[in-house]
Amino acid sequence: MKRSLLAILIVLSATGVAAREYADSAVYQGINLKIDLATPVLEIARSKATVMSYEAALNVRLVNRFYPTLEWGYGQGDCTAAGGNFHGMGGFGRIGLDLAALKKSRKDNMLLVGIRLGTAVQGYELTDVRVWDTYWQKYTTRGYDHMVRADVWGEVVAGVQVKVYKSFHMGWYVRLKLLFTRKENGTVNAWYIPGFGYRQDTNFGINYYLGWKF
Amino acid sequence: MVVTEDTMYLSSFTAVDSVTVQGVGIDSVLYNNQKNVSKLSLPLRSDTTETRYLLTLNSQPETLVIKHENNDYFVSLACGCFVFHEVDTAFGTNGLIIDSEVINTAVQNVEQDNIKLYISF
Repeated sequence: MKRSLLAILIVLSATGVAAREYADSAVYQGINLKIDLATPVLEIARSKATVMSYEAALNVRLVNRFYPTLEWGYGQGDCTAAGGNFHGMGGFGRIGLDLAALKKSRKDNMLLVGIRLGTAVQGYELTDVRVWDTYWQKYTTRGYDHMVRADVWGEVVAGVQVKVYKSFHMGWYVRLKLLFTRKENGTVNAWYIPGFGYRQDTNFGINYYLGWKF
Repeated sequence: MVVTEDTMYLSSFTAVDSVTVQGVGIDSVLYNNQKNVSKLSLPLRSDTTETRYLLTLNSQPETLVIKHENNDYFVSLACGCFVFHEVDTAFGTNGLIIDSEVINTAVQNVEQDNIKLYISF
């Protein structure tokens, strides 16, 4: 038992000078940089890569309990359907705050709950949009190029973060997303929203992060 | 009477004894020697801004020309687009329709009268 405790203390002492200094601060305990691995893998499996999204996150640990968070990324979507084709791509960002849910969260292992405000700006086009005149027996198509759209949504998130080795950690997030910029009937909106997902009122998301504390 | 999203309605003051209506350029007949007609339901074209119908009113021929704008109404990638219309003018080319009045310019997926035709035999 004493040997185990000694080993843990030695690992903690090897996390670097900066981290050690911040650990002594009552307010600021360092920055976490995280790269999401789950979304690209899930999109390859789910959409056969017709939709792809990549994202990273940065959060700051304050008073051992609060984590102001910035997330950013890039997404693109392609769809070929009976009524038309969609192609869009753009960037997105989210800001928010996580809270260590358990008061006695360990320093490097924690349960997090939080909120996000997300926005995405993308350029997109719809091609070969079908119009069928039943009586006139005319089949025509429409194209909408160089469309630009911004969307805004909110999220409630929950996740875990655990230390893996030295300054490296991993974690999961699950997200419930609520779109604020709802579709206006008849308008040519984007079928996919980077960072949010398919255009619908609500979406779920999941992330698996690998991170580095510095 | 079938109501569709792109159908325009025509009204006359009094019923016409017999009416045959056919789109110019196609074989399909919308009204085939129909009796005692006071209202027509005519789909407008989405590929041009002018729709022409051949009317036979009490055995007398007339060509009805309707000029309109087309406005896309996007539904979804699965369904594509509807096209709604704004009617500008309507007139006849053979003198049977002596005047017309656009009551409602908007042609959408609600049933309402759009044009009144004044016909002289």
